Amino acid sequence: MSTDDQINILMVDDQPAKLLSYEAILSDLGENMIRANSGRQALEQLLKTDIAVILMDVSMPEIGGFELAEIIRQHPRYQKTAIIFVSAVHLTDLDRMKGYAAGAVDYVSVPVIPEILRAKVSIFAELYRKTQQLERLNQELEQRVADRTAELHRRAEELQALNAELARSNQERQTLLESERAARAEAEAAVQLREQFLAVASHELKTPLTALMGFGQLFQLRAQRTNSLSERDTQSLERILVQADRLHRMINALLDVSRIEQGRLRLEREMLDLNALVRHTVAEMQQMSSQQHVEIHSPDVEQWITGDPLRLEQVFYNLLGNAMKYSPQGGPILISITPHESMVHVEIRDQGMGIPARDLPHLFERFYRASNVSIDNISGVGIGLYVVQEIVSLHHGTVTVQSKEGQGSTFTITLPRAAALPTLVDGSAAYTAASDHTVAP
Amino acid sequence: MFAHTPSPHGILVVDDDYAIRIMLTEVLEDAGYQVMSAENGSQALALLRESPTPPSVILLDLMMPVMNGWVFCVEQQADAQLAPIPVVVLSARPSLQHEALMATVNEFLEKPVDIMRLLTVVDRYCVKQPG
Repeated sequence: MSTDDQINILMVDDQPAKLLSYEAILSDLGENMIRANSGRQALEQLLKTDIAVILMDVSMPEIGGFELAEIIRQHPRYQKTAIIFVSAVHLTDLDRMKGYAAGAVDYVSVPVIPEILRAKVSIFAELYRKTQQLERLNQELEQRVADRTAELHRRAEELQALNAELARSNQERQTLLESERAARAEAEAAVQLREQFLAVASHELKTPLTALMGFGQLFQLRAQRTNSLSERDTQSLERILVQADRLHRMINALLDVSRIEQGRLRLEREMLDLNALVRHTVAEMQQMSSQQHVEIHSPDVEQWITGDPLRLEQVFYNLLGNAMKYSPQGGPILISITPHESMVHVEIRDQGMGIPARDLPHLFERFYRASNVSIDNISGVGIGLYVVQEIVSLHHGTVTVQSKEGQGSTFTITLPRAAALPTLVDGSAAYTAASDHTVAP
Repeated sequence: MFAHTPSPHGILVVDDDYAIRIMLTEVLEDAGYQVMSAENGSQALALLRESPTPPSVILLDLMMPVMNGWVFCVEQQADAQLAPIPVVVLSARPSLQHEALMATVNEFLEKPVDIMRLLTVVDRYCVKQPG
C-alpha cells in the first residue's frame, strides 16, 4: 500500500508503553500511526495533519479523554472524525458524547483485546476512506454540474447570438423586401411612363402626318382637276400617299399596343360577311403593292360573323402583308375560308422563308421578330402579330401558325360564326353579299 | 362645285397646328367654302361672337392650349346664339370616352383625315340650309 493511500491514525495516551502496544496491534492495518503523549500533543498533531481515526485514553492527567474529544469536535474539520476511547466502561459519558456530535464514537474496554481494537479501527478507517471517496465523487459531480451549467450558459449565449443573427437577417430580408417593392413601383412607373410616351408620341406623330396626307390629297385633287401632272409625277404622288398611309398604319399599331397594355382596345361589333371582308382586304392590298399572286378559296355563301370590321380588316391586312413581305421570291399566297360546325377558319398560306421552330412559341409576343429575319432587309418592329392575336382573342377566336424554315408559313384564324343568319342586313354593314369582288375566286 | 351658290357657306376651323389649319383652309376653299380659322377655343368664341353670320359647321380639334375643345363645347352650349351650330371633332385620339364626354358633338373624324371623307361630311351640314 503506498503512503498516498495510507490514512493517519492518531493514538493519544500519557503512557508510552501503551502507545507502543497499540502501534504493534494496529501495524497490520498498514496505516500511518501517529503518537501523542498528551492532549496538547494530540491537538498539535490534529492541526498539522489530516487525521482519520483517533484512538484515545480516557484517563490522562492533564486533560481527560472526553474533555479533549469535545475540544476536538469544536473544530469543523473534526466534527465527524471517528474517536475510539480506551477505557473501563463509562456508559453515561459515552452516551453524552454520542448525543452531542454526529461523528462516530466508539470505545474499547481495558484490557484491550487486540482483534477487537484492530477490527474497530479498521472499520473506522474504511468508513473514512468511503467518506473521502464520496466526497471526491461529490466534488466530481459538483464539477460536472458546474461544467454542464457553464455549457448551458454557453449554449444560451450561442442561442442569443443566433437569435440576434436571425433578427438581423430578418431585418435584412425586410430591407430587401422594401427595396424590391420600391423597384417594382419604379418598374410600374416606368411602364406607365412608356405607355404615356407611346400615346403622346403617337398623337404628336399624327399631327404632322395629318397635314402631310391632307396636302398630298389636295395636291392630287388639284392635279386631277387641272390635269397638270405627267404620268410619272402622278405615280410619284401616289407613292408618297401610299407611304404616308403605311406610316399611318405603323403609328396606329403603336397606339394599339399602348391600348392593349392598358386594356383599352375595344371592338365595335356588327354582323358581317367574312368572305367579303377578306376579299375586300386582298383587293385593297393588291392595289397598293406589287402584283403578287393571291388565290382565294371560299364557299359560295356568305360567312356571317359578329365582329369589328375595321379591326378584322387590320388582322387580314397584317397577315397578308406578312405573307407578301416574307416571300421575297414572290411565291403564290393561298387563302382559304372554311366553315366547320360553329366556327369558320381562314387559312393564309405562303411559300416564303418560313419561321424557325425555336421562334414559333414567341411569335405572338410583343416586339418579337423571327431570328431568320435580317433587320437590314425586311422592315418591321414586331408588333403586328401581337396586335393580331389581341384582336382575334377579343373576337373569341384563335390564331395559330404552322411553319418550317424555308418552306413557308400557314396562319390560321378561327372565329365563331354568328348564331343565326341575319334576316335583315342594315346598310351600315360594309360587307354584304353585294360588295364588289375585285379578285376572282 | 359651289361656285353657283350666291353666298357660300362659312366654315370655322379650330386647330392649334398651323399646317393643319392651312391645309384644311385650302381644301375647303378649293371646294368653294368660305373659311375662317382660330388657334384655340377662346379665339374661336371671339370670332363667332364678332361674326355677323354664323358658320354652317365648326371643325374642332380637341387638344389645344389656352382653351381646349372640351371647354369650347361647354362655352358654346352656354351661349344660346352659338349652341345650334353643328360641331365636327377632328382628333388624333378618338375614343368612346370622348364621345361620352361630348354629347353635343355631331360627328367625330380621326386624324389623319381622308380629304374626300371630310368633304362628304362638311357637305352634309351645308346643303341642309338654303344657300
